[in-house]
Amino acid sequence: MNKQIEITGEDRKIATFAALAIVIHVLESSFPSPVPGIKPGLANIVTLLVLFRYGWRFAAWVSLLRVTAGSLLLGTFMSPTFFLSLSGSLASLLAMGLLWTGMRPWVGMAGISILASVSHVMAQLLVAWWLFIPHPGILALTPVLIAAGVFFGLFNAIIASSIEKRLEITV
Amino acid sequence: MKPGDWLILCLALLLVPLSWSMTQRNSGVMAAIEITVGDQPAVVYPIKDQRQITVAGDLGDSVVEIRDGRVRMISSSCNGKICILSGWHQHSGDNIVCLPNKVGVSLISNQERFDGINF
Repeated sequence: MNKQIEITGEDRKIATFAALAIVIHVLESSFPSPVPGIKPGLANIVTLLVLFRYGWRFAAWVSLLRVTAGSLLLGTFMSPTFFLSLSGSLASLLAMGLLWTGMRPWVGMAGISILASVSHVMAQLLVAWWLFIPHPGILALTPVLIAAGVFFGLFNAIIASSIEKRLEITV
Repeated sequence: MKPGDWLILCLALLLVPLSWSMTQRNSGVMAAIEITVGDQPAVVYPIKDQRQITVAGDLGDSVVEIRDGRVRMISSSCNGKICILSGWHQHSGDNIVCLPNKVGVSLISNQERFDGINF
């Protein structure tokens, strides 16, 4: 007897948002960055919105599906780029989870986005240092990357919260 | 923005100068010159020294000069003078070796140097 996997409405929602995030992810990667290693990470706007509408488990699904499927589309699956992306996502999901479960009354999108984004760059930097470029020189990038993380974290949160205000229909 | 947002924003911004001071400061590379003669234990000289060192090898004297963070062999009692012709050395991992005179000069450092990194 072969049993079909039941597709729930939840699965459809996750797939829809993941698809949206993947499109943004792929589009963004086609724009050259003025500074190598720094990019806005606009796909995380989707992650933020999903977190605030449906909770952390949804956000984790969307984020990890985006990283995996995005890397398949870009041809970076299992390459250093993929592992950097994955480690950044895992770290920012961890940061989001901590704030979301423990500090929800006190933080909004901006705080969660900034902490997630800073965790993202720090995890990437440490993984890059540990696995790919084991030279202490790479750590000199830390302040630049954190500054960019704060800036784009806030930037994405502003966009996400303005979208959130306009979203009236429940997807 | 909620109070927690401001707190996270301020802490994250504080992290920028903090990580700056932590990572930009200790870029100091500890390097030294190690001179080996025959089977004897190596003698280490700081690379900051400005000096000439005369060592007695199997055939005669060899003179090593350390200057401006670089090292070279000035004179040697060997026939080939390959050690002298190899010129100045300034990268960690570099060596001057005079086989006939059994004199070795190595640039050692606490920082690893990579021949190449390939992805």
